[in-house]
Amino acid sequence: MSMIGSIGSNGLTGAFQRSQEIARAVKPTATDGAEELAKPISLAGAPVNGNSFSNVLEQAVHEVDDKMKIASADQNKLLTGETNNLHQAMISIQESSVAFSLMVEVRNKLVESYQELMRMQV
Amino acid sequence: MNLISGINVTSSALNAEKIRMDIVAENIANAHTTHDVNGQAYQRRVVSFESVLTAAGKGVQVSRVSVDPSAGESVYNPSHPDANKEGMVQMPNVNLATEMVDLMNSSRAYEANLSVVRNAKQIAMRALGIGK
Repeated sequence: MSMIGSIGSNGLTGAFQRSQEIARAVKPTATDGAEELAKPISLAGAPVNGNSFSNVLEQAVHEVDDKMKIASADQNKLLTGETNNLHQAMISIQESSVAFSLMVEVRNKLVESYQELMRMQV
Repeated sequence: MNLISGINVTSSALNAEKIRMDIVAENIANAHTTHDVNGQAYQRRVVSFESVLTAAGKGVQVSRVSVDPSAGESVYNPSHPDANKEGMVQMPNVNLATEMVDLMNSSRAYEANLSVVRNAKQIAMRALGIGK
């Protein structure tokens, strides 16, 4: 595998390929997670298995949003006295915080690859 | 998406330990109750745990809260409203020392489960820092 190869015409897709792999890692499923990562990803950035990159990313963002909603619902239940499960609320808050950090990390990687492209000498 | 693995199992353990602590609180609060709802002296409660299968693994839950049937001490106090004809009052079978040990036990178990949560989160955050 040549490191310089990715700087050529495939530089763009190479960067996107890396981001795509990160995004896929956001939601690894027990059945196809490992195989999907190992499969070659279309160089043109075309949809792989009908799952386009934007779809995967959107799904990940939605899951993070769901986690935050659950955390906020747990907080509300605790504050209104519906339950007294302090630990459950704290755990969901921590869970949503980790999920959000992961999302930010994916975004940072994307922006980083974009900026890497913009810095390219033409 | 389950980023912090095993957290549901730990959560069930935290819940169970909290219930155990509540029962200890009940026992301590009623350490001098000579007139329970059934008219007898208060009998201390004991919790028993059972494992329960959750989606994430084997959790724990309180299977039942049973009554300790052992007899409490009888003290001579004829002026007490609950004294019998001989002037003896049946006291609850709550031993404060035992209850304090139970309380420490469940509080340590709670702490142990909390550190599992803390460590699981730390591991997730460290993993997010890979490549930095």
